[in-house]
Amino acid sequence: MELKKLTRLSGLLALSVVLGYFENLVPLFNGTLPGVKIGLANCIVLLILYGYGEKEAILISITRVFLVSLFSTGIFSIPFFFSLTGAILSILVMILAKRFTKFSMIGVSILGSISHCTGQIICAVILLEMPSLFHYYPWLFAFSIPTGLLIGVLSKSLYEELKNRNLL
Amino acid sequence: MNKWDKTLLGICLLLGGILLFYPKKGNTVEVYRNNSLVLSVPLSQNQIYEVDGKLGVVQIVVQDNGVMVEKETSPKHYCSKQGFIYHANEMIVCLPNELVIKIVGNSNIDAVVK
Repeated sequence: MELKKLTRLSGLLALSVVLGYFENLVPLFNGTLPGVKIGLANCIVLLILYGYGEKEAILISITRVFLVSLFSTGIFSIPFFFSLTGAILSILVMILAKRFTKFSMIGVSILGSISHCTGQIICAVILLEMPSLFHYYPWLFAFSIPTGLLIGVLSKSLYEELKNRNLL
Repeated sequence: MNKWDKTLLGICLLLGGILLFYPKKGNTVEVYRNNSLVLSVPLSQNQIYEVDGKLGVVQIVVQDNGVMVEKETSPKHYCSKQGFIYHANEMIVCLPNELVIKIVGNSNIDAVVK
């Protein structure tokens, strides 16, 4: 990997870790809806997916989950597996959407957001053996749409700006 | 944002709305005081029940597959102002009387993840 790319990717990884950690500190709606967050870290993953490529995006996305878990709940804890499943499903769906559909970054982001919460809830149902958790899925689904849209719009303008300044 | 994105957004919003507001049928009314079950009655039977709350008797009305609190003693009367609830997993909470009234469906499992 060439040096310039390596440094930039590390910088972006660090940024996504900080964003992910910061989000865990600020629960939305006073924590009445656990698991609902804006998904700022996904913004970085989208930038990498469009700016560098699929392999890099997978790498950064999964490394990020490990690092954020180290800071918050600890590695191989139950919430760690929620975010890992969510991140893997989300990045796979985003790659497929980017390759095979005509969605712009915004559509890809919405799909990524929805698949993230789907992955999390599936993992939670399997790990905690509580099928009743699916009652909670409509809320996660409903909130993942506006957050996905927000992150998509944000990433799109960021991507264009960074491309113009030759920073990506 | 191209037309594909807009279509996707529309479909997702529709799907989310259906998921959220799809009426989940319940068949039993359960009343809890301090987390212990004090009353469990069918939702389909129109009747008036009385349950002892901390501040006095709470009158619960079951009517047309819905439940409401008719009369209670509390400072702000939040739970009687809430009116009827109809769907599974909906609840009326009356904190001054330590009462929780909820409709449960066929599966009696209810879990909260934190």
